[in-house]
Amino acid sequence: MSITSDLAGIVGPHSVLDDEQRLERYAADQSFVSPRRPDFVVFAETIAQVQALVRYANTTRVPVVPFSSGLNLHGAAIPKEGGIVLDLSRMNSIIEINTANRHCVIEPGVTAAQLQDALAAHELRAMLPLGIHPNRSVLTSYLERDPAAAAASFEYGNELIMDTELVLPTGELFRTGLWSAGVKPGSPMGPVRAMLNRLWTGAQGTLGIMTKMNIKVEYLPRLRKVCMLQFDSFPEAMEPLRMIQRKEIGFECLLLNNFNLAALLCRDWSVPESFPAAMVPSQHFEQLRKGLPEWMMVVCLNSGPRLAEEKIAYEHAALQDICSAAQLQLYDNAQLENALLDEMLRPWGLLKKFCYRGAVHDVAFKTTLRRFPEFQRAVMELITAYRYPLQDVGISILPLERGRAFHCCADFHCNPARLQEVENVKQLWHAVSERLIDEGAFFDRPYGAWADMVYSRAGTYTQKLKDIKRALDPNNILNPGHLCF
Amino acid sequence: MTYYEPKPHKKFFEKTLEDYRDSIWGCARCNWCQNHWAWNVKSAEYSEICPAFHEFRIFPYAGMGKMHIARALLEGDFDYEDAPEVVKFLYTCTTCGACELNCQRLQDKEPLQVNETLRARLVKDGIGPMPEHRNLLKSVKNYDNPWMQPRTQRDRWARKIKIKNIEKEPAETLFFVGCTVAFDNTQWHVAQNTATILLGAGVDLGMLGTKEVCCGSPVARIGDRDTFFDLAQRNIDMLNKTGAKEIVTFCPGCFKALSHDYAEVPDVPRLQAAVYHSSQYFDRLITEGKLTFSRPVNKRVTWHDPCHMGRHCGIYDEPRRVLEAIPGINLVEMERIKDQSWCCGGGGGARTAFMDFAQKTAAKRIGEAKKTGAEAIVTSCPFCEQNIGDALNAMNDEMEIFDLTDIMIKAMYSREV
Amino acid sequence: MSDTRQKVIQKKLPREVYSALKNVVGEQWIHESRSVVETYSKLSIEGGSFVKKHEKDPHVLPACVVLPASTDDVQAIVKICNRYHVPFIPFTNGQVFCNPTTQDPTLIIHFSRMNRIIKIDTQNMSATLEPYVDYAQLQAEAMKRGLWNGGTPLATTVCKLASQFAFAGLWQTDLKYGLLNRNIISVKMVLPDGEILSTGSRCIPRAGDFWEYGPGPDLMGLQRSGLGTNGIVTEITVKLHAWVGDDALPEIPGGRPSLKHVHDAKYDSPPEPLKNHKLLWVEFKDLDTQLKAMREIAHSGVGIGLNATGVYSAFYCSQTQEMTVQRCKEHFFPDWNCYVILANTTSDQQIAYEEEVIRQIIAEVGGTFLSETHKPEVLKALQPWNYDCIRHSTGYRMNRKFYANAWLPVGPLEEAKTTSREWKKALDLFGEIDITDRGGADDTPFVYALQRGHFCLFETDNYPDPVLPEEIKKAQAYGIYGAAVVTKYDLGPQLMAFVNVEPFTTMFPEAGPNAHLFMRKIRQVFDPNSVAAPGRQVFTEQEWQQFPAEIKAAVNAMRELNGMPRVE
Repeated sequence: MSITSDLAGIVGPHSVLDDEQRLERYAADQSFVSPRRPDFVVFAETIAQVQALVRYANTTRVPVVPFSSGLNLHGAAIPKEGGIVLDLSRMNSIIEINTANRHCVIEPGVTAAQLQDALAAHELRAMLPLGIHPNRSVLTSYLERDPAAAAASFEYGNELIMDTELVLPTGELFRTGLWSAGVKPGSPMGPVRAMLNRLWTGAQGTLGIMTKMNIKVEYLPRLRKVCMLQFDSFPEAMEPLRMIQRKEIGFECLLLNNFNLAALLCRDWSVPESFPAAMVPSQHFEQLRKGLPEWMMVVCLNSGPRLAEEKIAYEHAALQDICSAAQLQLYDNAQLENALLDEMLRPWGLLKKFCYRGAVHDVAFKTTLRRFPEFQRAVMELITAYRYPLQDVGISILPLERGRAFHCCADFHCNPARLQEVENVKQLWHAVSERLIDEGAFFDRPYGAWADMVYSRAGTYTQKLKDIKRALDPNNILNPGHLCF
Repeated sequence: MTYYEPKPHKKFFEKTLEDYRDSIWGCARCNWCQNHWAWNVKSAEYSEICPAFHEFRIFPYAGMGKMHIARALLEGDFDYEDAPEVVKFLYTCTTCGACELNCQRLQDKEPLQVNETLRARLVKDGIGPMPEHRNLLKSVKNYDNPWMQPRTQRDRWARKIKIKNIEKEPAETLFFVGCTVAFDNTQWHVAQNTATILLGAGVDLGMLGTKEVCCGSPVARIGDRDTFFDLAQRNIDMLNKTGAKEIVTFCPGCFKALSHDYAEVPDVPRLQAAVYHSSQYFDRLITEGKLTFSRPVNKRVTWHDPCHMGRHCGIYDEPRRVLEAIPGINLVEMERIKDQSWCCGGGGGARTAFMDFAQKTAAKRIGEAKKTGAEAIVTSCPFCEQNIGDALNAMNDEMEIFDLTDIMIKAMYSREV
Repeated sequence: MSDTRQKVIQKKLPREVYSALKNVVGEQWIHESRSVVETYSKLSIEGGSFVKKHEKDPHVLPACVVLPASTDDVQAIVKICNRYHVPFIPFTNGQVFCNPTTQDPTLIIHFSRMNRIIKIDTQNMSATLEPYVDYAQLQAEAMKRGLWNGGTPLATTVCKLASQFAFAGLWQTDLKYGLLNRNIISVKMVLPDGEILSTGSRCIPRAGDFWEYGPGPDLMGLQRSGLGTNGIVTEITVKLHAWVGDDALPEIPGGRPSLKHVHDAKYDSPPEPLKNHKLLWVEFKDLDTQLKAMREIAHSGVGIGLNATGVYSAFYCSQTQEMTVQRCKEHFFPDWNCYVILANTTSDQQIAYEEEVIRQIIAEVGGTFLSETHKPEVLKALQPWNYDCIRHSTGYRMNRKFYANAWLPVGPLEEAKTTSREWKKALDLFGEIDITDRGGADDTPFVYALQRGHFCLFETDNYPDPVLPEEIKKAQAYGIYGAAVVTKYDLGPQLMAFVNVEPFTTMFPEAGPNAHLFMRKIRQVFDPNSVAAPGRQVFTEQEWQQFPAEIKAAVNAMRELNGMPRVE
C-alpha cells in the first residue's frame, strides 16, 4: 500500500493531492521562509478524519502540517520537513451563533468576511484582527493571536477565545473551556484548568490541530463614530494617547503613518486575492501620502444597544476635554472617516498596501509606549544604512488593553520579481529583527527566522516548550521545524 | 445542631478551653487576626495588625495559630512535653486585642480570650508563665505591686499636691493611680498632672495613698487567675468601702481591670462606683465648661491609641476631643488608628519577657507616626509611653512622646507642674 | 473516631535534609516543633482536613515549615527536595490544598517573608508582587497612584494574588475586568525541578514585563490553576486599571465596632457609595425575571459588576450569628435580585447614562429598585456592599461557621436554573445541614456575570459544624455529588476542586475527555521527581492503583446516582 492510498482510505480519493503542480501552491507564501513542497495535501472534513490522519502519521512518522486558509503570510504553514499538508478549508461551518450569550462556534475554514456577514444578520459582530484578509481563517487568526482592531479595549478586544476543540498530536480528541466538561461550549473556564487553551495559541499548529473554536462576539453597535487626531511625530502622540486610553475612551484605537493611511484610502488599489500580490502603480497613492499628516490616531466610539446617542455623546465630550487640555483639534476628513468606519468592522482594507510593491515583510513586535521611540530610532538607523526609502515604511500601532502594551508593525515593501530588491529588504528585515530583539522588542509570535532569535534568548521557557512538545508529540509529527521544535 | 444556640452565661475568668471548643475548631484561617481591616488599609507597609506575627512570620504567633494550638491541647493531640515551645508562643503576645476584634467582627470568635485562657491553663499546670514573669508575680503577692517597691513609697509622687486621703476624709471621686506611675519617678508627672487638672477643675478628689493595691491587670494578662481573683476581691472591697461615686484612672490596664475584668471574676461583689478613664473625665469637664485651655500649644501631634483603653474598652474619641480643644494643637492621624491601631509592643507581659520584640514593635509605630509629619506622639498609657519612649531614645530620634496630661498642663499653666 | 486523648505526632525530615534547609534560610526561619506544624495542618475550607483532625490522622501534619525570603531561597529549597525526594507544599494562608498529599514527611514552604510589592508601573499599569502580597495591600498602593487591580475577592487580606494564580481568583467586578485570569501579565516561578521559569515578555532579556503571551505557545495558561503542583510563583505581575475613586477608601464609622461587651451602635452605620461609583439593587418576582434582566444588562455593555446574591447578604451584612439566622428565616433580603456596580471611568456623565439604561431594562423586564420608597431598611442593611464591591472586607463573615463545600459551576447565565434545581435535589437527598444551606434553593444562587456576561459563575454552599464530623462528611457528599452533577449537565466547575484535583481528575474521564492522561504528561514534564504536592492534581497510574478503595466507591456511588457509569 502506498501512502497516497492510505490517505485516500482515510479521507477519500478526491481529498488527496499529490500532483506537483497543486502541491506547489502549498510550498511557499510571500514570507522569507524557505519554500518546501509537501509530499501530499489532504482535505479533511470531519474530526474523525483529522484524528485518523494524525494517528496514521504517528505510525508512519510522516509530518502533518495543519493548514486553513494559507493567509498567515509568515511561513507558519510551510512544510519545512515535507510530509502531509492537512487542509482544513473544507471544514467551514459556522456551527452555532448563540445570540443569548453572544458567542459563536466556528470551524477552521470559516473566513473573516463569511463570519462577519453571518453575524451581522443577527445584529452581532466579531472583533476581527486589524489587517486580516477577508478569506483568512478566523480560527487560525485568533489562534495565532493576531491583535484585534479593538485590542485597545480591555474587555472587548482581547481574550476572544472561549472554548476549543482540538486533536492532540497523538490523535486524541481534547477540549478546553466549558466544552471539556461534555458537549456544550460556553465558557473559557472549564473543569480542566483555567487558561489551558493558551498553550495552543501562537503554536503554529505544532501542538495540536484545532477543529472548532467558540469565540466571543458582541452586539453590532447602533451608532459608531470615528474620531481622528493628527501628529507630526510619534512622541507628540504619546501623552494624548495615554490620556485617551486611561480614560477608556473608544472601542477601537490605532495609529497609522501616512503610508498605511494612504494605502487604505487609495482608490486604485483593492485587497489582493493572493500573495505576493500584483504591483499596481498609483498616482493617487502618491498624492495621498504627501497630503496626509505623518501620523494619525484613530479612535472609534461605539454605542451600546440602548441610548446610542447618549453614549457616543459622553465619550465624545470626554475626548474633546482631552483635546482641549492638550490643545489638539480633531482631524476632519469625511472620506477618511468613512473608510476607517468600515475598516473597524471589516479590517482588511489595510491589505491594499500589498499593491505597492507586491510583497510586504513586516517586523511585528510588542513593547511599551515609552520604549517605542528608541525602537523607532534603531529602525531608522538601519533603514538608512540599508538605503531603503524611508517614506516606504508603513507603520501601524495598536494600543493593547488601554495602553498597557503596544503592538507595533513596521512594513518593508519589495517587488518579488526584482531579486536585488528582495535581497536588500531581506537583509534589512533580518538586521532590524535581530537589532530589535536584542534591544528588547518582544516578538511574541516568533515566525520564521525570528524563532531562533527569540528562543535562543528565552532560557527555561524554551526548554520547557521542548519538553512539552516531546511529551505531547513524541514522534514530532506536527509541523516540525517551526518555533523551537 | 447546637452551634449558635445561646450558651449559658459564664464569666470570662471561669472559662476553660472546653468553653471555647466551638470557637477554636471553627477558626476559618481567614487571617484577619494578622491584618488591618481591609477597608482601612492605606498602605502595604502598615497593613498588618498583629505585632508578633509581623515580627516572627509564623502562625503560632498569630491569633489563628493560638486557636489551633488550643484545639490540639484540648483534644490531646499533643501535650506540653511534646511542645515546650508553646509557652514562648503564647507569651509573645501583647494582648493588644486586634485579633479578637477583627475575628469577632467576622467570625464571632475569640482568639485573645483563648490565648488568655491558654495562659491560665499553663500557669495552673505549672508550665507558665515565662521565667521573666515570675518575679513580677512574686512582687505582686509580696508588695501589692509588680515593681518590688515598698508599699510606703506609693504616694511619694503626691507630696506636693493637696489631695484627700479618702480613708480619712470622704471624696466624691477616687483617683486610682496605679502601680507603674506611682512607683516610677519618671512617670510621676502623669499622676501629678492628672491630680492638678482634676483638682483645678473643682473635682472633689481623693486617693487611697499607700493603701492602694495593684489592680491585678498584669497578673490577669499573664494568666495567674488565683492571684488576680484575690486582688479583685481586695480592691472591690476596699473601693466600695470608700463610698466614692466615681473612680478615675489614667492607666488603661487599671481602667480595664476595674471597668471590665472585675465583672468577669466569679463570686465577687460588684464594684459600686462608676469607673472612668481620665480622658473621658477630662472630656466631660470640657463639655461642662469646667476645664478650659488658655495657652496655645503649637504642636503637630499624633494620637496613639493604647490598646487596653481603645480596642478593649472602646475609648477612641474622647482623648481626640480633648486634644482638639487645645489651641494650637494640630492633630494628625496615623494610618492605623482607633480599633485598628498598632500596639506599642509593651503590653500583655511582652515587654517583660521579650524586650527586643517590644522595642521593634514600638519602632514600627514610631515610623508610622513620623510619616504623618507629627513632632510628637501623644498617648495616655504608662506602658506605651515607656516602651515608645525607650525606642525613641534607642533610635536617638528627635520625636517626642507626651502623656495627654502633659499637653493639657502646657495649655493651662505657664510652667510645667 | 479514635481514642480522644490519643496523641498525634508528626514524622520528621531526615537530619541531613533539615540541616541542608537550615543552611539555606538560617535557623530562625525553619521550624519543626510540634505546635508549629499544628498551625499548618488544619485548613480553612477543606472538609477533609477537619475530618482527619477528628480522626487523629497524623498525615495532615507536615514535617517541617521553612520560610524563604527570595526566589533564590525557594530555588535552593526545591533543589534540596529533589535531591532527597522530599515532597513539598507551597503555603500562604492555608485556605485549601495545603495539606501534605502523601504519607511521607512533607515540607511546607511558607511565604510570609516574601511580602513585598516589588514594583508598581504607573505608566504601563502593572504591579509586580511577591507571593504574600494581598489584594488590600495592592489596592492601597495602587489607588494612591490613580490605579487599581480591577476587582476584589471575598476576603481581601486573606487572598494573595500569587496563590490565587494557583487556585481561584473570582471578583465582584468580573463583568468588566474578568477574573484574575484576565489580569495576569506574567509569573516568575520556581519549577518543581528547581528551574526558574518566567512567562510572557519578561522571559526575554531587556524586553520588560508587560505582555502576557508567549513567546509562541503560552506556558502561563498551563501553569494557572496548578494548585502548587507545577511550580511555585515567586513573583506575579498583574494588570492595573484606571481608578476613579479617592486615593484611599474613606474612613467610616461603620465596620468599626469595638469588642462585643462595649459595642456601640454608632459603629454599625454602613458606608455610603464611593466617589464616582454607584450600586443599584433590584428585586425581582422570580428567578426567570432575574436572569432575563441580568442578561439584558450584560448585553447593554454597562457597569463594571453584575451579580446576584441571596442568602449571602444575610452573612455579610449581619452583625451577629443570631441576626444572620433570623434574616434567613424571614427572607429579609430579596430572594431574587441583582446588583450592578457602576463607575464613572470615562466621564462624569457615565453613571447617569448607565443608570438610565438599567432603568429602561428594568421597566421592560419587570423589577423594583430598592430605594428610599421601596424597602429602604433592606437597602440600608445592604450598604456594606458599597465598599465590599471594591475591597471586600466582610467576606469571611460567612456563617460564622465552617464553609466546607461549595458548588461553583460555570456556564451560560441560564444554567443558574440548573444549579438551583440540582441543589434542591441534593438538599432532598442528603438533608439540610443548616438553614443557610437553603441559599440557592429558596433564593438565587450567587450569580456572577463574567466578562460582559458571556458566561457566568454560580455558587451554593454548605456550612457544617466543625465540631461534628458527621456534618462535615455530609457536606463532602454534596461536593462529590456536585462533581457528578456538573459533568452530567455539562457545567464547568472551575474554582471548585473538580478535574483539577484528585480523585476527581481520574474519576471523571468525561472531562477533557481523559484530561487525566493529558495532565499526567504535563506533570511528568514539570515534576519528574514527584515532589510538588504529588498526586494532588493528577495521579500517576501507580498512585491511582494505591488510592483507597472506599473513596473510589464513594465517588462511584455519586456517579451512579447521576446515571453515570462506574470508573474502575
